Amino acid sequence: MSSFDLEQYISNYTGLTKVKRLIFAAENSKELRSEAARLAVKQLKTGINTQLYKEVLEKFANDLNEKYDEAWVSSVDQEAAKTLEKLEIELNSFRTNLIKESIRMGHNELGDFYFARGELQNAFKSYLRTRDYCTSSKHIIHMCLSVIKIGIETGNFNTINQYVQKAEQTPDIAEGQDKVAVSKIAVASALYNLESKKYKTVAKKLLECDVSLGDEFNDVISLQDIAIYAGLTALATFDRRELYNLLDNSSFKNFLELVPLVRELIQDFYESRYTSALTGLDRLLPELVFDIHLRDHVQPLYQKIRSRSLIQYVSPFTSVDMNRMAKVFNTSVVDLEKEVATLIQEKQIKARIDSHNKILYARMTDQRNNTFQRVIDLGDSYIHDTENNILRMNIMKHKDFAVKPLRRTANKNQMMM
Amino acid sequence: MDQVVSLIRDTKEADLDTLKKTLESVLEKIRGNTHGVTNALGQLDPSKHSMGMVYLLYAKSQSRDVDPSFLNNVEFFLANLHGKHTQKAASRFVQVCHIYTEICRDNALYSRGIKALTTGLQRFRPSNDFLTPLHADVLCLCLKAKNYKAGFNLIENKIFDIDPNATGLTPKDMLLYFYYGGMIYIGLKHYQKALGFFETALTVPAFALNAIMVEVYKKYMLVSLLVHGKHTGLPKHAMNIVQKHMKTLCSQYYEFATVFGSGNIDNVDKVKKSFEDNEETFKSDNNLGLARQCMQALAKRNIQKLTATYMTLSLADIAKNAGLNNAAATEKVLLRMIENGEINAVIDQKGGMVSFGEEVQAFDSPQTSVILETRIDQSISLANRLKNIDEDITSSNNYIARQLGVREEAYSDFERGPSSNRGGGIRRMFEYFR
Repeated sequence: MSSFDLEQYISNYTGLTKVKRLIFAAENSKELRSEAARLAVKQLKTGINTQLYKEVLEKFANDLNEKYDEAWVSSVDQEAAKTLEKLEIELNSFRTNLIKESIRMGHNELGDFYFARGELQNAFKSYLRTRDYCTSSKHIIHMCLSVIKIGIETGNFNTINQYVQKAEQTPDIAEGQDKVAVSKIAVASALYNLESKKYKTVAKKLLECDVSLGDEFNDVISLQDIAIYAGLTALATFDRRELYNLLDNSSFKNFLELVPLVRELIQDFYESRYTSALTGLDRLLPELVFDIHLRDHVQPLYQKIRSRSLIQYVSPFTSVDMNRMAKVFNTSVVDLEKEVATLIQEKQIKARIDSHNKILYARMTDQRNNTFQRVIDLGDSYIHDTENNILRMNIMKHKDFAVKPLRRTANKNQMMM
Repeated sequence: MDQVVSLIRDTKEADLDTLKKTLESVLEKIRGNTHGVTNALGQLDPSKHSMGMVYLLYAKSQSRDVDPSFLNNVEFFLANLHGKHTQKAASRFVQVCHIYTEICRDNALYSRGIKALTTGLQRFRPSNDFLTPLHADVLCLCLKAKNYKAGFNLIENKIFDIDPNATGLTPKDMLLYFYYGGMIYIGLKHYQKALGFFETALTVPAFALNAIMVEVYKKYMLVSLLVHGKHTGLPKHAMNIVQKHMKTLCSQYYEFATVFGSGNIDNVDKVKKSFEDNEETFKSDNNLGLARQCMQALAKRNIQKLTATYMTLSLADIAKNAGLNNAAATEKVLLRMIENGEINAVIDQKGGMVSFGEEVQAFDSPQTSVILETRIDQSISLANRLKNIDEDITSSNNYIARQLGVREEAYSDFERGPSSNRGGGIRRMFEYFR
């Protein structure tokens, strides 16, 4: 855990997500609790979100040696009230003059202001109001991104999906001219798919990202994050050919350069060096548990990657010595046997275990037998279904033939209606 | 009384409907005259006077204490009745039969009843495609007598059609038939077939639930555990009301099935616990035996899974994985399974090891071709049946009218002449053909 450098990690982010990630880290780690809380407060003091400032101070009162800064809060609040008034007056005057572009800008500024104050619902409303005043596809994308950002912060994933689709329809995105915007939308879509556990889509979406995104989206995600997410989801879902394409993908190479560990991981996996791949995964783990988006998915993803390694390991052999296999996968033979048994029962590995000699034998499926079995089963179900359906058809001919409620209860129902 | 008898004798086939009305009206009067009725029954011939005899038998069955001669009368009638005529008085006939069945059931005259009713049923039904209310009666007696063989012959004959008018069949009779039939299949250990019967019962059209359906559903769940190892759910065409309410009505079964079907080998203990939790329910529903068989099947199923996963495994490990108590018990179960040909395995008692062979079924015996041939024959005859149904439908008036988009009124308009304004449909039809 000590290898994890919070300060360096958090410097990748800006804005609200920085604070949220710090709070998240503080909640989930005892060692980093006070440091994360301190950094969060420090970050909050540079902004105007006094509400969150109060909450953080209350929550981590025991871990902070900092006192609640009354003067700062009230001055910021006063300042904010003035700004709000000013913005509203401006917006009203734009409205009376009916200048579309200015009205849009006005709503946008108001939205940005609410966002900075942490009033996400109001910000959402303001951003939505700009919808009617969008004149170019750039405007629409801007509007969509603003809404998506709020969706991400509030965890409202349906909104994200809705506005990702909307943005994808604009010419700038569809034709892929604006690479930064394309990347942003791709990230948003990936986050949505991550939430619905469609890991393969996540990987594919993230591969659409371009490194020119730079730090522009740092209030949501860092380039390193993209590399890690994409790497893990790809490892869990891609087959060998797809992995090869991923390593060969010139634009994604730039991402992988940022996180050499992930690149090595994919390389190892592709070249079947499972021991180092699995240790690599373990080294990555401490960082991942602090990731706001990935945390819930680390476990299933790791599980999947492990299963895939096992499957891949046994695939070329007709028999495998499980003692050696256990060494490669860094576990005991007994545990390995259990893991493999589960995979066999899920029909992911076609093999049988010789538990006595600890050898795994590949299993040849007898196509002829299988076909016979399937033909007989199909025939049975056809006969059964057809017979039943003929009877049903004949029953249907008699309209009145059905189980009916007793007359007494029928009356009661009518009365109730 | 004599009048009635002579009336029955003299009525020609064409006038049966009038006779029915008359008999309905005098029913009250002849009911009191038990002695007369018995006499009259002796004078009539079932093959000619079925209709009249049905009413006389009905009258006799309604008297306060039923004469022992009633049984003989009914049996004589059942053995000789005239199908078409009896169908005209179906509902009364069915009532007579139900009463007869009750008497047989309460006096343990099972085999006598089964024999008489089976003959009667064969004469009474329009063809062997049809279900009659007597079916359920016969099966009920079979179950009571534990004479599953007798019922087996009856339920093996597939039901394709119903005719409530000719046979007086009610939905209740149908549910009972498939319920009893399924139980007989269970008794004979034909679980797959039992499942099919229960499924049919649960897909009978319904606007309300009745107790039979609930009982059917409980057994359905347990049997589907036996057959498929999990609860497969109802077919899509089951009525909404069944799909909706059964979960709550049979919640304990549902819970048991869910645990049972979750598939992990290590959940044997959970299944055991669920079984013990619900044992009282199973017992009070008379399903305890079935539930116990599920538990046995679970161990077997787990062992079968192991054969697909392992080549060798120690007895102790098998016991652990299959949820059996100890190695000795496991050995017993394994032995029985090997004897029944359910698994292919060799036990090494010295080392406590079991080696599993590949599956035995190789599909290279003459039996395989017999199996296939019977399936093919069945399929062909079903296909023919479907073809006939299809022809019937495509040549029916309703269908043709619908196809052409012409309502009946269009025909009548056409007859009235082309001047009518409302003949658009039929004119369109002609233009279409031009």
